[in-house]
Amino acid sequence: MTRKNTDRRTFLKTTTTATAAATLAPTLAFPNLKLKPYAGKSLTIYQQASPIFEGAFALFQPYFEDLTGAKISFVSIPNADLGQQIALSLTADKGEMDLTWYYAVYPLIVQGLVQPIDDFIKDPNLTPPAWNFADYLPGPLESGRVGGKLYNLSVTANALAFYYRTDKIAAAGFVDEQGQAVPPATWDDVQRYGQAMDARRDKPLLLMYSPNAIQFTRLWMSLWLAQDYTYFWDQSGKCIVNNADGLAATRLFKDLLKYASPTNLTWDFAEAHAAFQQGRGAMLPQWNNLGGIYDDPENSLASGKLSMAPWPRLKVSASDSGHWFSLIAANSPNKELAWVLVREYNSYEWQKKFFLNSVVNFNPSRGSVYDDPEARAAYPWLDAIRTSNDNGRDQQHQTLEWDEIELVLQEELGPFITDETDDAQQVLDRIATRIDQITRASGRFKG
Amino acid sequence: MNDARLAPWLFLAPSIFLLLAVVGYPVLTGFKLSLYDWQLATIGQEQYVGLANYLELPGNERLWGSIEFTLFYALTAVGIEIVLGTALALLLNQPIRGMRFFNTLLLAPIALSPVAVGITWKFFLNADYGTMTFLLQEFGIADYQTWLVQKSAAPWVLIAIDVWWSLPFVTIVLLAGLKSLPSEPFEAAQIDGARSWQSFFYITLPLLRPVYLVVLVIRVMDALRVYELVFVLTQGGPGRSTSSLSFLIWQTGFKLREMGNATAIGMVFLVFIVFLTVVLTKLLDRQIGEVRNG
Repeated sequence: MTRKNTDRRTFLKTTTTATAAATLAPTLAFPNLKLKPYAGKSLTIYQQASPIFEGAFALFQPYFEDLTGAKISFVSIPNADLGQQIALSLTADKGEMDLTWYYAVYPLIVQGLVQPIDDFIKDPNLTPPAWNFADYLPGPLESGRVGGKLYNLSVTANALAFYYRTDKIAAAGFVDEQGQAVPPATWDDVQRYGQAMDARRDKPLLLMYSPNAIQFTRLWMSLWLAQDYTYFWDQSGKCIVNNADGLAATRLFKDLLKYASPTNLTWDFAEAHAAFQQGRGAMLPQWNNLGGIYDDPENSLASGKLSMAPWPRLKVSASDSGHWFSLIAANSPNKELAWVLVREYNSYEWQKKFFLNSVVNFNPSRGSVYDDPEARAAYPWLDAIRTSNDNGRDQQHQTLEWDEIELVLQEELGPFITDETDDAQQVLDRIATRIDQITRASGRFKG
Repeated sequence: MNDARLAPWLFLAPSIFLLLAVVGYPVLTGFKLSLYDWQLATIGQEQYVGLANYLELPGNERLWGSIEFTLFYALTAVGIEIVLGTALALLLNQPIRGMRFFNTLLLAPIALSPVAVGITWKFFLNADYGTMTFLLQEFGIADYQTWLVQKSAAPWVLIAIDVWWSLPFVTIVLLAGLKSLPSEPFEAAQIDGARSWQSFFYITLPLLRPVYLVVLVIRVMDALRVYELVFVLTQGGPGRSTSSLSFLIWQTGFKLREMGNATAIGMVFLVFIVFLTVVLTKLLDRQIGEVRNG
């Protein structure tokens, strides 16, 4: 018995000494060595399968793993499946996903599936003051706030803007006193430019118009928003697009086809995107985060002849915004580590690095990057990005009924642009009736 | 139960268990879900609503459009496949040199997955650089085509692709049927002076009835479930002109996140498919019986 007690005491003494030595030895031998705070942990991130997000991952992964000691794995998912994969993981008891970048976040937030990040930001151990939260642009920031809590930080702050080819516009005679190309400032200008540049098989306007894709509805929405509306229905849930402004926007929506290749009817995002890179048009309404790709000499004939203007005005220069947010899963066991990743992704250094990379080219959500001389030199249209983001309107996306309403727009506007019907008023009537039905059925509106 | 009566059940038990696990359980779970108001993002907060999801179905404008398209698609595509398949099978049944090569060639589309078929045809029909546009230009017919975004043309394009894809299957099954027909009735008809078309309509077709029913059962079930071609090529558009029932179920569940409604549509669809299968199988049994009994 005595022998046994002695053994135990010796054992405890030995192991305590050994543990203390093992912990202290590296620190004493290598005073500069810092233990990685999240060594042994791992994060799984769902991302859109695209060169943009995959390029950002390739840049960021070595840095983050070195910083934290954690391992990150990215699961690339085609955009068509991304939403359902995210929802399935968020609603599972043990979802695979810790973090994602996504745009349709509102329904997920209101169901409590997304982790608020206010506490992480307030904690000086997790968010040092030097991270400078005040530098964050107010627009994207407000888009991530629901019910007074902040849920998301924008990875890339986007809105629709107007790309143009300086050489083609100048060749058509639209130049200032210095001979520099002048972009269209209004939709009347766009049509005037179109008439002047119109030639068979060389139409100047490129549009995302495929009625089978969702992108073309964004163009119609942005023509409505440029009439100085911020929303599509009033507080009682009654649809408000069925008026003279809505009619003008709807007719313009179709009139634009006059200045576009007839095959534009079939183009969705990828095809309009490729056509501009192939040098096939002078003007392209498109998301404002693609300048780097369009200006890349290896992949685009528009390179060196490219510029961007804010969304042309009807009454104001306002378009649909489409931020991609960092979203931390509420069911993740690694929320703190996920925040560290979001924090680093949104730091000044990485926002600038992403922006200056021609493949990634995330639009900065930090004001100071827009004032950075290196960024300004690389992208002379930087002010157009900022202006379009400042004017971007996103209220519609913060509505639970939006997915269904967007589907209605797709279903009603599709046959209108493909000439199955030419009656803009009838199209608006149907849109208004169906939106009213949806908002009434939701029971969330006073009307 | 004695051993002799127990033995078959023991042998069947693994299959029965597997069927219950992979078919029975999902169907029962699906039915249960269809009785709840359940948004995809609200697991754990589902509300029991009884038959409300089913009672809403008659007023669902999208559902009626999808039923109309799905029936039109399935009946038209299978009808064309059976007519063309019969013609091709008769041709391939002739002792022509090199026919084995064509037989092999005919099999190629069957090996393709529906998504690969959709993507290939999407390229083929691309308005700007697709082969179809090139052919139209070469023959001076048109400068381009935009069929996939034309409400009147898009359903026919999907049907044409289905025919291209499934015709080999129909042809091969019918060809196998033709080859298995007894020669005596044809010899007797020849002696009686029957013409070839009379032999075809009065001997070949009646004897092939069970084979036609097999083709019908398999192809109608398959065509009614069309999803991949719609997803890849048209996303149900333009408007709702090519929204099949399977696509609508996906759209309702995963796009609009209304899982309760989606499963209710799915259950009704399932009942319809089961009903159709039972009717067609009974017809098939009767035809086989008639052929056997002469």
